[in-house]
Amino acid sequence: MLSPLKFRFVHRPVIVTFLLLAAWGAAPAATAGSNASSSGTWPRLQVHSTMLDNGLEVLVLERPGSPTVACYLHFRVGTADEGPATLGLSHMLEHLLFKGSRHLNTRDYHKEADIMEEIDRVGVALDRARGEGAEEEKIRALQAELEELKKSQHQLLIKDEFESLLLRAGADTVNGTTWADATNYFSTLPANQLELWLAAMADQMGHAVLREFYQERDVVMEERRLRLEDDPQGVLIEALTSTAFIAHPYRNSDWMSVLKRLTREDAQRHYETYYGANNAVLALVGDVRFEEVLPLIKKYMGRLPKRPAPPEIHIEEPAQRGERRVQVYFDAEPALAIAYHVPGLTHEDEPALALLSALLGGHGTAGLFESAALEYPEATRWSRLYRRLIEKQGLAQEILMGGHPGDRYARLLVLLVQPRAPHDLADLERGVLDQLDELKRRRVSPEELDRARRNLIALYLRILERNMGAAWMIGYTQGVSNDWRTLERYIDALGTVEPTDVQRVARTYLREHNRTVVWRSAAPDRDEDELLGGGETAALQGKGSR
Amino acid sequence: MIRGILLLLLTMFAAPPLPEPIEDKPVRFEVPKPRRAVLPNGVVVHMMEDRTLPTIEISAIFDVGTAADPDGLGGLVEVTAEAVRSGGAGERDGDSFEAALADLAALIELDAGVDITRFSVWSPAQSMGGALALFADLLRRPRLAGASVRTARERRAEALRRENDDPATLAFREFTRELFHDHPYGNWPTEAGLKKIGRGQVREFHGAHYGPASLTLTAAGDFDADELLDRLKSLFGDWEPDSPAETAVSDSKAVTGEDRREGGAPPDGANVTDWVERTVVPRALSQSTFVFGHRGPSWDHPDLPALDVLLEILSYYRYFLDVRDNRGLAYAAFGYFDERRQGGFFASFAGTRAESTGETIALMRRHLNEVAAGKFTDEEAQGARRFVSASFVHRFGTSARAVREFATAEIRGLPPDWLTGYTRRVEALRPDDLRRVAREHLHPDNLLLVIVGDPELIDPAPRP
Repeated sequence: MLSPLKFRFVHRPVIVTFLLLAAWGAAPAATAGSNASSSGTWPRLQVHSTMLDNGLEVLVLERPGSPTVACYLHFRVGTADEGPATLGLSHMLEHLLFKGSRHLNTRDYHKEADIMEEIDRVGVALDRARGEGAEEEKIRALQAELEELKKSQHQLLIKDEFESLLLRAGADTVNGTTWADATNYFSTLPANQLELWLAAMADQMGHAVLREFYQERDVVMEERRLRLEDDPQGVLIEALTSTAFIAHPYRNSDWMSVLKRLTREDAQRHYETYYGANNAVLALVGDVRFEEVLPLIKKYMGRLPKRPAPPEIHIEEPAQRGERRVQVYFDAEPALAIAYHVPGLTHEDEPALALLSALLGGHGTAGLFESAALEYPEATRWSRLYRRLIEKQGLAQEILMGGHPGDRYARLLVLLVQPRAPHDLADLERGVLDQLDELKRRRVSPEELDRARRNLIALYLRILERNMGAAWMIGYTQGVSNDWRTLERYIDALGTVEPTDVQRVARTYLREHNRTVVWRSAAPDRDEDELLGGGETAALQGKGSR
Repeated sequence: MIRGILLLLLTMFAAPPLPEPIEDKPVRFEVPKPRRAVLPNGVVVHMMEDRTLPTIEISAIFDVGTAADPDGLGGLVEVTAEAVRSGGAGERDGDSFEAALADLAALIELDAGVDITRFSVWSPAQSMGGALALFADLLRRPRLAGASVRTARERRAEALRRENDDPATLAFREFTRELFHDHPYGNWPTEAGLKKIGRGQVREFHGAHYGPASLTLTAAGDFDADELLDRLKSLFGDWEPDSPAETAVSDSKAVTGEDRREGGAPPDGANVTDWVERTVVPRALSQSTFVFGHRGPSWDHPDLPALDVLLEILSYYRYFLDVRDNRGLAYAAFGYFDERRQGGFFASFAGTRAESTGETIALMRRHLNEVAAGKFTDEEAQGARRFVSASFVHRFGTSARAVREFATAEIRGLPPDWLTGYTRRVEALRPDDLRRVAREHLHPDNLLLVIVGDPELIDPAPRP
């Protein structure tokens, strides 16, 4: 049947703040590839890696015969790097970094700079007036002044010059995504257009001008409405994350109240803090030769500025001391989220947790490249929860399991489940928890564990087929763990997990006091007038402490 | 133009000037040619060897889609496909089939479209022998047990209810139902109809529509083509139609020439010069989601390359650059052409805050009017032509995708050089060609509009 998810959202920066949201929404494009020889099912990837003098980490995977090259640029900055007054800035920047540079998108940067200062002044005054509830007349006057200034700036712009440059060269998309740990920019181009991408991207990232700030802030607010406020899954996930984390910035979201007060000055500061070459990873996969492209990479990307090391995050999420339980009212069919705190990607328990997740839900736990696996929902049919809750008991409509919202720090293992009528959320929760308990009680058979292992690795192999899938896998892994080989160690480690390991991590992490549960359902009619608007967390009934 | 941009870029670089300008390189790409073979029973196979990774993907494309749902049994095509996929095959029930597949680390995917249904099996090369045998079992000998039919039916009913939760899905659903109200493309399952679907209907439908006469196979990956062809012959070559009823959807649900006319008959009671305005399931949402458009040509129309270029003008130069970039009215705003056998549809789509619904619709319609009237610049035409031509390579980004492009082109009845000559056709288009095609195929005075949103906030009422 017709699926709008197949429609093209062309040429656009996109935020995928939530991995799991991407699964039931529009999953980001992804790809992979290798010319490497095969060692068992998983081929050893012959990745060339080096670091430029400015600190940029470079990975190249040659894939001769492919008609394209996938280009992936990863900055180690995301929603977790934001503070209370800067929520949403990483995402704002991702949008603004398609707006050109001092050289691109403008006819006269110096004239434009003067106008932008005026726009900043009026924009800040307008935000303040709105925030303070100023008289309508004053607000209208400021709005009119701002519109006039925007028109003046518009006269000096060459709209979308940066982006159309790449599209004319055959880029499939010129796009970016913002995650908890990372912001990345990616395009796949015909292989002979790589130099153009390097030149244009280096200019954009090194000499960015954060123009048209207020127009783009409106776009980001529209995106928030689309993906979080009006989307039942977004509502569920946002409630889950902000409840499960009380200290760690993985709880961050780009709340509208903060978004609408962000300024270009804030964005410029964020850019200068986090967009150093020494905070970035470049991954190229396709019909390129390392020795041929390295001089080009140095020539263009070598000019990106090196900056002081950005601030580190030292906050650790304290151990949870009791179940947290939230009811969210939203006008949609019901759904349930169950989450447990688990460690980050490089922790020694991760491979066993990944197989536990695969056994139950068909997908592993590793964030960003796992999101590409979510393009293959059929890959879950063999898993326990699918066989038992969907096929046998008829309790569930859809099940999705995976890590969230990042990988660098301790995060959540999340289960998103939809009940199938006539079953309700209570039936479904009981059914899910029974399955989790069984995993703790009864050791999984070596055969079933091996099945999970083979299918998880096969899924990653599937992602690897496309150039961009491979670029994401190696580039993202380098970004969050500082070494792309973590990916190979991860695959190898999956081979060493025993049934006892799965039982041990199940008993360690899948405990009631470590659990957060969110129920999303339509508001009961009798209480409708008393409840908050759609999507608000209307009640918090903690059985334990927060 | 592009050279000018490049020179600007290079000369204005802040750090040391570049030693030499970047060439304005044409895209270097040759359309790959898969091998084509025909099995003894007439099934066409397209194959492409690719040793990049030790994996193989094989697809079975059946020339039947959801448009073949019988009257009163909306959802039968999808329920049948899901029951085939999930119910086990041959000697294996659903559980043991999935276990056998998973033990091979193989994956079978299913996509039931409006005109065709595709099953694909993917696996590591080393286990393709076993996976392919399971795949053939699934397609030829599905068990279609009562329990699997019931589960498939109940899941489709639940999905139907959940379609209302996604504004974009809801908007497109209501748009196509209304637009094709007199045509099978307007079919949509209903809960009442789904309840009538039982094992008998599913078995009958499978027998009538799943067979060699409606099947095309594709294969891509790490294999020897001769060996694979022998294997396909042994698994599928002796498959004969179960019944003479086996036929393609276009025959079973033929529509009249009147129905197939572009921009076909408007919904009852509507004047063709009016908007047909409708708010679907009023929802208390902060954003309005809307679709407007009309019917379009069939999926084998020779003007498709020109339509691709026109849509790029509309989507990128107008909706993206103006509606989104200049005015910040929407995150997603685009034009779309859904290609279908008996005539698809053009749609313009956007989501915007409820208060700017009228403004956004009016603006997008103005752009559509201009493009339909041929009022676009030569620069827009040239840029869009270049986008479409240069990005054609991505349709061949993986060998599995490439080989399916060839199979689909043949199923659609497109000329043999359709793919190899596509970029040549696009590059040959002059602005006047585009203007002719715009006048012939875009009908901004005959639009159906569907809005999902909060009627109390949508302001002003979206009227032309």
